[in-house]
Amino acid sequence: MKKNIILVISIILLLASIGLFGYLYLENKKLEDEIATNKENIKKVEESIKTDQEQITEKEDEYEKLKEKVKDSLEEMKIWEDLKEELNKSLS
Amino acid sequence: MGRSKGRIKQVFIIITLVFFVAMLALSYMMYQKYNNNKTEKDKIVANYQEIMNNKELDDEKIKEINDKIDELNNIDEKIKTLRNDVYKLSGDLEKKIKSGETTKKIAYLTFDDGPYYNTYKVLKILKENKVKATFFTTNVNKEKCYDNKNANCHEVYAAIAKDNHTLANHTYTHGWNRGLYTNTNTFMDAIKKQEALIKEKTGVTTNIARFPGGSSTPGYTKGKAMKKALNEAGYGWVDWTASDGDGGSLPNYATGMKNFKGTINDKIEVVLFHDYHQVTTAMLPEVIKYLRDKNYIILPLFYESVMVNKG
Repeated sequence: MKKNIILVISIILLLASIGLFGYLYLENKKLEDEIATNKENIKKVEESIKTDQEQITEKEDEYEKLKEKVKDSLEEMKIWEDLKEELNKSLS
Repeated sequence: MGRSKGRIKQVFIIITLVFFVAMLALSYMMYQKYNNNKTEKDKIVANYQEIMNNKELDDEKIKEINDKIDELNNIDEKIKTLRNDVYKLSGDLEKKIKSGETTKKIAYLTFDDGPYYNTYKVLKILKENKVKATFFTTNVNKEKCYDNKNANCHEVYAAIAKDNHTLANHTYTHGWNRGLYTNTNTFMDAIKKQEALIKEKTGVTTNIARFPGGSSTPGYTKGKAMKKALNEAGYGWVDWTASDGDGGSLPNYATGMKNFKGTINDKIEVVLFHDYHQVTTAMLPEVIKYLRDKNYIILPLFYESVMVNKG
């Protein structure tokens, strides 16, 4: 009788430990999948950042060239802005 | 038999417990691995977040540069808007000046009878001093400039328009003593021809005119009909309230400045100059300084101005 009880308890403990292991295994697997996905995402974003950096350099060049091209217009705009400001001050 | 069964149970119990211990050990190892992975995941998530933040910054930077590029591409439109804002505010200031609500004053610098080759010099001085003026143009020079036969005076129109000064109409012929004022038709014909010339050279449609010799030159009756015709054609007209006398004989700088200062008395002045005159050209920086020191804001004329007569 005593041995039967011990046997049952042993089996229960074994089953519980199998359950615990299974749970931990699955959770771990989930984590590993998430890590893999995140690593992949990071790689993608890093590639995208590289493209962005190239785009930024290109755009900055374009902006500088355009700025040089419309230098006179920028000066012209400044004159009108100053006139507007002076008028606003005179009216306030 | 009973003993044998008991032994089997004993062995089974031992095996079960051994497996149990083994599973516990494996679970512990799995737990350790889980913890390690969790730490790694947290690091990766933090890293990912940082990279995403950098990406967002890059995206913002790209947007910012694109906006700046758009702004530069639309700069002419922006200047046009600013110019309209300035006209609107100038109108408001005129009202305040007229009602005595401000001590600020306005001067409209106007240049008649051009364009000449010398107009380039005038434009340069105006640009250096950040002044916008009004050019009452005529075709007396035609394509050859009197003051530089090698220069094409029709090209000067574009230079005036490029600097956003007000282009105004001083008739095609300027022939105040050569049939311009014979009747309303001869006058309006000269207005329309000059309007077409300016439009062709710059794309600007004029809406402010000045009578060669002044609005009294055609005489009262003829003048009245001409002013009505101008109004019907969408024009306002303007005379002047101040000048340096460069339309007559202006011998030198000192006389020019004396003449000019002697006529600056009103709160809103329309100053008459001629862009061919060397003395006036030389005087310009001092004229601008004088007006600014006297609390004048120097502006280009615009159709809605109180100084532009309608009808």
